[in-house]
Amino acid sequence: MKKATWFGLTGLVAALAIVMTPMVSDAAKSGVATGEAAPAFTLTDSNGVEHSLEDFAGKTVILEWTNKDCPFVKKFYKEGHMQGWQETYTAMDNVVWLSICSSAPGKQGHLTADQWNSEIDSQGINATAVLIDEDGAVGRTYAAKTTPHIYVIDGDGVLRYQGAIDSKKSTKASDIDGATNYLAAAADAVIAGSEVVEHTTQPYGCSVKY
Amino acid sequence: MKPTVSHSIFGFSTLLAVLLVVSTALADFPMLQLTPPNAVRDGRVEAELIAEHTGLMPGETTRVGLRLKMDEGWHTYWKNPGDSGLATSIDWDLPEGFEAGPIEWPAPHYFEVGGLASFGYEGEIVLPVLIQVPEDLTGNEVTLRATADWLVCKETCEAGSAALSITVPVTRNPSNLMRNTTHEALFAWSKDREPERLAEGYGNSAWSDSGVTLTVREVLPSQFDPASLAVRFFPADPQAIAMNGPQAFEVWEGRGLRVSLTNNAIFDPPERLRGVLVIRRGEQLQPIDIDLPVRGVAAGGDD
Repeated sequence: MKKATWFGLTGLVAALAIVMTPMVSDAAKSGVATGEAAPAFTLTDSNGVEHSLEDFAGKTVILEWTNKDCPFVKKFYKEGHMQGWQETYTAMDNVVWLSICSSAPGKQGHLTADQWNSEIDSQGINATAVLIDEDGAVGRTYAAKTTPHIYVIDGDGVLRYQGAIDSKKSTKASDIDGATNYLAAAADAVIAGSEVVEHTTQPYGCSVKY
Repeated sequence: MKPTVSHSIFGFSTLLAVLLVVSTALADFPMLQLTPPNAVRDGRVEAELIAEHTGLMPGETTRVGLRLKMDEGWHTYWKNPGDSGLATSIDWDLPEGFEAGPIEWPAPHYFEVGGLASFGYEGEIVLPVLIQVPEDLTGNEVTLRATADWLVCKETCEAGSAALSITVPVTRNPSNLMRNTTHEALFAWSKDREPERLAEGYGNSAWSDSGVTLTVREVLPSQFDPASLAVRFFPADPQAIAMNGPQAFEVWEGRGLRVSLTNNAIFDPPERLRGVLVIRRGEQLQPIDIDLPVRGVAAGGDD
């Protein structure tokens, strides 16, 4: 009898088992494993030009999630590190750098196309294009969680790297030189046609302002 | 006029407190209680080093804490900040022979912004650190210095930093050591959130395509109100599970719990599950330190 009571209680409690978190939106929930096909997308850049991932078939594509007011993004822009990397890679044949802003209207880092063009001028941004993803659809598809969050896609459209920009989780520009640059390591490997050794890392930064 | 006994004790403790930090004395005069003089404000956060006791002893350990008071609605981060954010850090600059331990991280809260998980703290908190005091310490007082760095976020985030110091009296008589009454409540807050190690053999974890399960036994009291029960697992390793994924729990074999966690689709299954399981029964908080091998993953594991 005693045992039955125990089971009864357990059963009752089990029946009451509570889901702790309401189902989250797809925001940054699943994403795509490295080595799988990078999700297709089409976005409009700050000059009103549409870009689709398939347009860049045969090229190495670097995606950089950005939010100009995030302290982790500022870390890489204020002393020109990011602009320098953008310049290096976009100067190569068959390499494309797309900065993507998924901040929703009214949220931090959201800019209109014109405001982005001013920002590109004033900050000396050297990306191939700045893509505006204000409904967050592309960010969610890629499970972009932070700014910065980096993805490198090879010429066959395969996702070859996703994660942090470097190994030193901080907002200090003085930490950049001593860090392992995951972005450069991944981009260089893909461009050279070799394996990306650290192909998936934990991104760090501000949350994407969906 | 002869003071009563209680007055004289009160006076003595106040004197000690003055020796420790001037701010302590201000606590006796609520009208004057503004920012404590040792505290530094940077942006949304007031930071201060505080001592658990009124002095420290050569050759012993002493507990000091980084007190952080966040503006309403803003939060700082746990050692694993979650999907975004950054853990608070303390860079100590201690006199010769002193040695600081790691931050004794109190169990965090769960915040969710835009579908992303954050693990951290809001309000006023303390991050305690145990400091070893050298045996050959001389002098009547010692100054401990540290630089604290944090990220504080609401919807947006700001980096903050403060160069802090605290001067603590040195005593060679243990009976002179008393709890620092000003900060007693704050250290009690962290003590309540200190994870207790799960007894050996009382837990297991398994991975499958449908998720990671964490099972712990004999952690609940023999009688409790199931409706008051809330459970959340905070992984120490950000890659082990989907941090913003749903977590479900059920009471398991009477006094145990089985928690179902969501797989991280991007990373390989974890070999170990490390973190803190926070069980809440009404007001009562029970954080349990988890460090278990994950079955169904490790080579040779009994799948």
